[in-house]
Amino acid sequence: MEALLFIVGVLTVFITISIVLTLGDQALLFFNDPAVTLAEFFGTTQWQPQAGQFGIWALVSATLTTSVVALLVAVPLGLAAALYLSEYASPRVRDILKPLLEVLAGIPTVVYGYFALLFVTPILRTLLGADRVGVYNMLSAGLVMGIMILPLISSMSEDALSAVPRSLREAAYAMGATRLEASVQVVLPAALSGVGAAVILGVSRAVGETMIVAIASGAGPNFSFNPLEAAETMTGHIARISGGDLPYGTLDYSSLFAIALMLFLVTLVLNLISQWFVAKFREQYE
Amino acid sequence: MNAYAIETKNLSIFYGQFEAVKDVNLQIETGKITAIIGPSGCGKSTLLRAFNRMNDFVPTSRVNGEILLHGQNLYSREIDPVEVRRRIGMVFQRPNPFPKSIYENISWGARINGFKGNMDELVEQSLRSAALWDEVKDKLKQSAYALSGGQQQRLCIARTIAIQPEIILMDEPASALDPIATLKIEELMQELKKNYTILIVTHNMQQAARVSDFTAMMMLSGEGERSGTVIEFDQTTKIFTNPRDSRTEGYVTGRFG
Ligand SMILES: Nc1ncnc2c1ncn2[C@@H]1O[C@H](COP(=O)(O)OP(=O)(O)O)[C@@H](O)[C@H]1O
Ligand SMILES: [Mg+2]
Repeated sequence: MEALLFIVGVLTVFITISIVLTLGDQALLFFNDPAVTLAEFFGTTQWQPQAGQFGIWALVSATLTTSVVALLVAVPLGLAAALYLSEYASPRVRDILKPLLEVLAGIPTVVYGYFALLFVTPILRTLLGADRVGVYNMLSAGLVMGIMILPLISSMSEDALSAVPRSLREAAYAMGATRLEASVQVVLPAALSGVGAAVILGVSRAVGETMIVAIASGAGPNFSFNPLEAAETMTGHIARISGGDLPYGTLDYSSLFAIALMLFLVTLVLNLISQWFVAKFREQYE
Repeated sequence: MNAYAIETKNLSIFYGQFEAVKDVNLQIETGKITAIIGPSGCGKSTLLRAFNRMNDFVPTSRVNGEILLHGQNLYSREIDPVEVRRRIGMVFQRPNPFPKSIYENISWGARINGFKGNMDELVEQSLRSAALWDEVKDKLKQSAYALSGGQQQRLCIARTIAIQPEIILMDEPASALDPIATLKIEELMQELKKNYTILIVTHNMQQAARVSDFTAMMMLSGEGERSGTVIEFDQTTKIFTNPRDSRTEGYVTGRFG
């Protein structure tokens, strides 16, 4: 059994390494091309392969904007849902609500994509003005992505909150704490490492999400942090371009791997930041 | 003002259909230490947790009869249980400090209860009252979990003192501690009694005899009965030297229980 687990562990590491190598190999081709420089890649904001412009920020900006919108929806709502389920709801209410929430996680992302495009976007255009909000926009994609991530964050956070020993809650209540004070100021901080892990996973899901942004946020790189504008994310761009038939070995083709590598890096950095955050602020209980 | 800190009248406590504590009539005197003793499972904790409405968190629990705090029924409609818990503090069987710093363990309760004064002073004062100040004064910013079990329990007492309750409930506060730490808690109780009314549940007869002024003896109310009740309540010296009930005598002399 132990040997089996070991093999699985090694396999995971092996797969990760091969992904990085595959990405790195092709990306190297891209960066070795005389037409691109690292300075241009990281330092400019236009991404137009036809015109020989490879500024990754045009895509990173959209990824960050949609992800931030998504997290602004998913983290507060997910935490509120988790706190409600673990600290307020009676067991019966919990048994009904939890599976309902988890249904949200089972909806295919392509459905979410069209939900954003055909339902949320028209509402946004009515509310904020059709002249200000485009048919494709990052806000709609981000909001719906938030709804998609919400059950992930709430269910993982709820597990973490439920794992906090009852004695801590009793301590808080015995001090004359209200339910809200006990949940937010004692239980939540004690569960922060688990809640942090949930948020980290949520961030990774948001950054990596493809279908929703490909459908609803726009099909063209646009360096902008304005959520009302259309812009293409890294994932959306890869999906669209690789959908066409790109000849192997061209710059366009290898540029996709450079984007993918960048995506990998962004996720990694966000992960590291969140881990640092959790390590700094968590309250450990025995 | 009423001479009794707490008075119960025909108090019964249920978990669902099960009557865990039956027909208890007690008068707890202000400024004294009252011990509740008895074999495990006879309802000592249940009774104690009714006094600060901690049983409210057990959805099936229910109370019949009255618990009067200065003549006011703790379970009447207009009473806010949160306010009850502020006025009646509790120390638990296992030390349960918050996973925060020593300082914050004290300041948190005071802050949520609207304390507006000098927090540093309050923290020092509370730690001094709990005979812990000298041991922790140089590490107030450290996690409470770095303390020993006995220190943690005194910290829990300190944070309770910090919200200035009228009554302190202690549920076997020394049962998880070594003899030296236990002795410290007992000495501390003698100090605290000057300012607070204390109710302590203990399974340790010597401890009850050493620290308390009054003792309530609890037992299952009869053969084949699962409900516990107070079979005798008197001055501690009486209970230990000249009990009225033969079951009390048997228990305190260690013949059974
Ligand atoms: N939350 C609960 N739900 C149901 N029954 C309980 C609960 N807590 C305690 N009891 C029962 O009530 C009785 C008294 O328990 P307890 O007050 O803990 O006794 P003691 O503190 O004297 O050992 C026991 O029979 C116990 O099983
Ligand atoms: Mg008990």
